[in-house]
Amino acid sequence: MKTLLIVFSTIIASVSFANESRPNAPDFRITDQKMDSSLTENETRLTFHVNQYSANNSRIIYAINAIQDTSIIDNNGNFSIKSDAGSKKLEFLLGLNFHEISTDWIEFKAGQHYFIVLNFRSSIENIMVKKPVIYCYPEEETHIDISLKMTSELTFTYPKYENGWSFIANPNGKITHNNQFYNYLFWESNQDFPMNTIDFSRGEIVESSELLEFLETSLNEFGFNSKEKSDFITYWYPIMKDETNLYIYFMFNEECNIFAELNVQPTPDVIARFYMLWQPVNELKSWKTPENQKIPRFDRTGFTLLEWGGAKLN
Amino acid sequence: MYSVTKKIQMARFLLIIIGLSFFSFNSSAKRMAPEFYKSKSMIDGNLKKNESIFQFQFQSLDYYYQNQSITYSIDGKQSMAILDSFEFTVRTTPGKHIFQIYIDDAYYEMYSDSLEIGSKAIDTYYLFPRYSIIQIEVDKPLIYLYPERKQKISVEVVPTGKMKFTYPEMNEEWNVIANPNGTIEYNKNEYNYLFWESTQEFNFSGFDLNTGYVVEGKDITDFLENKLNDAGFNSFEMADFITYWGPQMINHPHLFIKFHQNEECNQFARLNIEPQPDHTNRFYMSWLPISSNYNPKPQTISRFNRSGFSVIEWGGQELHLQKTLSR
Repeated sequence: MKTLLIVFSTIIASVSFANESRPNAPDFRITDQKMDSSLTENETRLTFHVNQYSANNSRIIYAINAIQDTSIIDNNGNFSIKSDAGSKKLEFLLGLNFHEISTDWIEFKAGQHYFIVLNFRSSIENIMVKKPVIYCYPEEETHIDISLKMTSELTFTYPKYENGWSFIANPNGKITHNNQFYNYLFWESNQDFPMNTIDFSRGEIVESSELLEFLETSLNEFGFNSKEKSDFITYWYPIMKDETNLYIYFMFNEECNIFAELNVQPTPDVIARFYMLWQPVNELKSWKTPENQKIPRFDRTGFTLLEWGGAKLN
Repeated sequence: MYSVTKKIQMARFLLIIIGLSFFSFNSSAKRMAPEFYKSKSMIDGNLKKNESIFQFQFQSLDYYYQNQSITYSIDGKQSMAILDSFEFTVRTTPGKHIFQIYIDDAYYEMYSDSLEIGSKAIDTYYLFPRYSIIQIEVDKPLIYLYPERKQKISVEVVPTGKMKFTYPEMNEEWNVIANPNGTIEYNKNEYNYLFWESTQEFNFSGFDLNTGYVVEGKDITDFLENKLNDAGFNSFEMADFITYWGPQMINHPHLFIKFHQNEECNQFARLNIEPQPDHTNRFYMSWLPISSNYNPKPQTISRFNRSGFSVIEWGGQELHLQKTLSR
């Protein structure tokens, strides 16, 4: 069975090498296996080739049977480790921009040198970061400047963002910008997002019938007031409610810098940010029940800024 | 005006045809009026013996369809044609032929009977496509209440279609306390607006594509600001409108936009508000992405009356004129 697997994966390897993009190449495949007389009767040697050029000379984290170690990938994309022989489960992590690779149990024989190709998949997904809106609640009427620091392009802003927003805000949240009044500032952008940011073991799987209540509860816990809540819910709920089941993952405060950093002058006492990432879940079976996320509560004391946004994951 | 007169002409014409159809379509008694009406037949000496030409003329299409492509099939073989002056021709052989013509989702697909054509003949047919019924989502109508003094108000929305979502939740109606600054108190919470959304059937028969606006997606913010200013939106309401619709519209090269105001909005829902507002101002936008530019006749936008107890409602719907051929 094992040999069959090896032969099979070698065939796949030779086919997929021809194809530069390798969309369907397996993450992990043993391409060759040789006797190595330098090994003791108990040892096995594993030489890995990492397909991603950008990974050359960088550190890789790996685990053999859950015991973690690191190695450096050389100029040619290779790294080698010696291990005791036997049945092993391997895991590899190459930074945030790639998905982790983990294998099933594989039998590595003593005295053998295995050549293995690792094909890391990009975890970068293009997402639309939708409708972040920013509310400002200073303690007194204050002139405020806000700029967004991000690598992606803004696709829509309102009122118009011109290297930033410069406006006057009132304690009740009213924003005066170019002689017009607003409740919030709006921006939207198209971003390359590393999916590894999301810890899929956490979050919530919500049935459509419970979605509204779940959102209300989560927003209440974070400290939204009813007006902010209705802006959030009337935007997201209609888009989400037709899905049978949804996976929902929240990101809070500093975690949201991955979407954009907010530069606010004068510096608010509290910057509260609340982002929701979600995707439809088609086959419930394939999802382990994630661990609930604890929602931090923000404090509305002093000059407070609240921002909410979100994205549907593909 | 163009299309109204054109539609009247068409209606008159249809009456004549209905009369005709009594005779010519006796066998298929259920059909009210034919979609294909043979207007003339002539012989063209320049054609070869084994050649004949069908000429199809649409009688009731809006300017929008000028130069649009349509899909047709002759004897089951599919082709495309560009509507030049609402016409297209099909060159074929003498004998009997069956046509199917598909314009887009606004119309039902048209099926001809077996049309017989002679050698060297050019037969002209008038086409009368029927409007289809499409399902639309009436999106995000928001209702703002501005009473003269703090007071209890009940608001009932009776949608033409099926209600999909209300927020805060409406049970039969919303019973709220509204303030002159627009803040709505409901179940001990404060809101800026009442939200509802529905899904309903829609038919293009009353929808004139010759009146409205064609706008490039990239100019959408300026365009909407301009029109909403004309209508009398304040900047808070305008931001709610533009931040909802703008991002959905900005990436389309061209958009057709049409506004519906006040009573025209009854086609989407009726509002029952107690006590009776002095002025209920409703403003809906229908829009659809289009492939080419044309110049429809601009609409007249009437201005909100915000005196006394006033209500503002805005909403809209994206219409799809996709060419989704069933086969």
